[in-house]
Amino acid sequence: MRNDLHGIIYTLSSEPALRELVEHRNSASIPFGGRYRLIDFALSMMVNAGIRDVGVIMERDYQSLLDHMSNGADWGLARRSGGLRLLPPFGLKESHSGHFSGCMEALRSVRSYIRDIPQEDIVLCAADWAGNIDLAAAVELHRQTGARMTAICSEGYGPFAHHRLVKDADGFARRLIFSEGGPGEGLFSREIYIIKKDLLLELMEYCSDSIHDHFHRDAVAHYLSQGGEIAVYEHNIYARRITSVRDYYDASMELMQPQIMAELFPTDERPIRTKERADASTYYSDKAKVTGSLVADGCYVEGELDHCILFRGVRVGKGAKLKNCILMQDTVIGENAALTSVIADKDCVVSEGTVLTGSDKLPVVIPKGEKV
Amino acid sequence: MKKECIAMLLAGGQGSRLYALTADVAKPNLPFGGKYRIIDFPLSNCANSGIDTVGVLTQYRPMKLNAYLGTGQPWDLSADDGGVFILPPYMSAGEKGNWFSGTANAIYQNLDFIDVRDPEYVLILSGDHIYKMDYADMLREHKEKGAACTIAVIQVSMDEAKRFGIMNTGEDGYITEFEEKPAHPKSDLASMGIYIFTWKKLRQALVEDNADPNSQQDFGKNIIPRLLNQGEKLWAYHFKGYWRDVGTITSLWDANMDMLSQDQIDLYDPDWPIMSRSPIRPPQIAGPEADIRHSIVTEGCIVDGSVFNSVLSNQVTIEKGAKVEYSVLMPGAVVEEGAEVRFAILGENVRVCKGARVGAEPDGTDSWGVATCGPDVTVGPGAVVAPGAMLYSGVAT
Repeated sequence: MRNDLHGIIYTLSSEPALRELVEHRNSASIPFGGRYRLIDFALSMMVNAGIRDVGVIMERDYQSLLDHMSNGADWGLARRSGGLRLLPPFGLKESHSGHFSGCMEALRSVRSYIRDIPQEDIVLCAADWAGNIDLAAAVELHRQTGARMTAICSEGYGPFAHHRLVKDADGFARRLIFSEGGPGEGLFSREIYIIKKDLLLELMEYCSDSIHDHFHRDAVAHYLSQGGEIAVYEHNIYARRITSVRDYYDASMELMQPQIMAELFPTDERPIRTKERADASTYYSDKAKVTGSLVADGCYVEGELDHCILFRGVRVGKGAKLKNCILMQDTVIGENAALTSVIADKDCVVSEGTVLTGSDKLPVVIPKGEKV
Repeated sequence: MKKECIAMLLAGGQGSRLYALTADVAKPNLPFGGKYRIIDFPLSNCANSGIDTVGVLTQYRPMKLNAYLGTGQPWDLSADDGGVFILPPYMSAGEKGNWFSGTANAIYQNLDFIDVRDPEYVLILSGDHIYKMDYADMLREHKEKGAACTIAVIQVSMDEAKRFGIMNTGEDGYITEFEEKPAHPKSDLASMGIYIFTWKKLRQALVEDNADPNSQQDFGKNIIPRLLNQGEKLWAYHFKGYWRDVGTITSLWDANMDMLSQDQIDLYDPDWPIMSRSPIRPPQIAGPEADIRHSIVTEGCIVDGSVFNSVLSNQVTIEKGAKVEYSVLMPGAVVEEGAEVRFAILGENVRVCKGARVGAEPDGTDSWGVATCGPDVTVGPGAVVAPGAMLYSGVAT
């Protein structure tokens, strides 16, 4: 039985405020939550709703994303028929920079791919957020209402959300508001849409020139101005976009809250899948101390951790004291180092006795592969 | 299809001396060392040694083992021209089907599987040992020495030698005699149950052995002596390194404890990874009250109590105020608030309720032992499980 849904994940030019985190990668492949990349959340959402065909429109800095996704086997998407399709950004006729400023521009670059999609409905979303959304329930609403477009919305969506839909009494939204943050009328769009393929093609037709690059500003606004209606699926469990270093740090520290952990990783449903590695379990030595922390497999901890996130394969030397730190894959912390509010990217080496102190407002970021 | 060397992994044993732990799973499928199942060790060794075809002979309670192995993908053993093949006993036209009556019989019944691949050499492995070994090096020696069979041996103490199959070798290093569990061992070289055979020689020996009504169709008892009698060259490959048989509760517990020191076996060596199929779980959480020392903890665990000198598989929960010391906790085990677990093995999904106590420190008496709770057992609130106990079913208060 073929599922009548097709997934498209687009990646846009990364927000500059993500600084060192996107020096070697697009925001879609930022490591998050101890063992994931941001795109894992969008991909798992789709797979958990039974989607078996997913196209990923890649932005220019896609090497890290390619390495992460490979053939999609870790998400059950390595399939003979359908499965994962990685779409490089150079499908546009004009010599294109490979950077997309908006969703409609990204979609334009894969027009023929979209035309050939065999399914009737398309799930469209970005890849720069973390959350665990019950897409299957939203699809059910989409089918029940017979809507041409369904939006997943919530009361809050991190500090950088700025599209709101105002839901009428019949459950449909006919009005879109642009405003940044704060309380106000309407529900925040989580920028996840279920949309009929023919409608998407119509909107792409309308947005066929470079002044119509944006999904909300151009496509959705046009659709509503033509009398279109959007079914609203309200989903208030944890999800947030990550658009700056500060935001990344806050979102990471939030994970220590049991409620958020439980919403992001429910025990037996909707698992978040990611690339598998061959790691042993994590070892804590007799001198180790670990409280309020999130630790992946393959770590070797001989120091002290308080409110830290350790990705796979991190080593923490004897006497090292770490507080509020995020250490990405295979980073090594030397003996007696003392770090507070530090984000160390992949493969960093912090030598013996180093002292680095950031703050909640201004965490220190060590770029990928650096030696300190 | 032709292969130089393929592996046949004997995974049909019940592991009866593990009692409740293997009541409904085959021993090779038993959780071990946090992330692993015992069979991960030989499978990873195969992958790391460049052996890409592994026949896994199953018999006892194979369902969970089959599910665990799947296509062999987690061990990089799912290539088009190789892979993991599960080989259960089967029926043939006009005959009664037979269970594998011995280790050699299991291979005999799968002659077809090997013939199709037409290998020069066949590596025989068992699914119940913990070790890291480069079979390619053993094969190199097998070829160099022109042997019909090479047996991996490890030095043990003369006292231990009584528990093993012992190889007596001549001055030139070739094996002259094999003795199963000798009362008065003449050598300290114990067979590790790892054999490389030149396939033509093994094939012939298996066919002859099958025709012998008195044979127990066992490698150690029948095939090795048969080859020796026929004057074939049998070489002893000396293995130096960590190797443990985990056939008993004590040895299983010991070997798990060994995983806590890298000088025994290094599980963090990127050049020889031990691979496994892991459930999809988030990272482990150490709560605000957690105290974890000299222990192994796996993804999906939630620890808010104290854990010392212990091995925790995935999805183990240790609640606030609970104490776990010198213990092995298999996937899904839960130790509730204020409960204490010492010198114990908790099977999968065991629940130790509030205030209960399982096991105790060694007290020097003969009756002391590692306390074991079989899978899915619930130890009721305040209940006490004595050291050395073996629980098949739950106990109330």
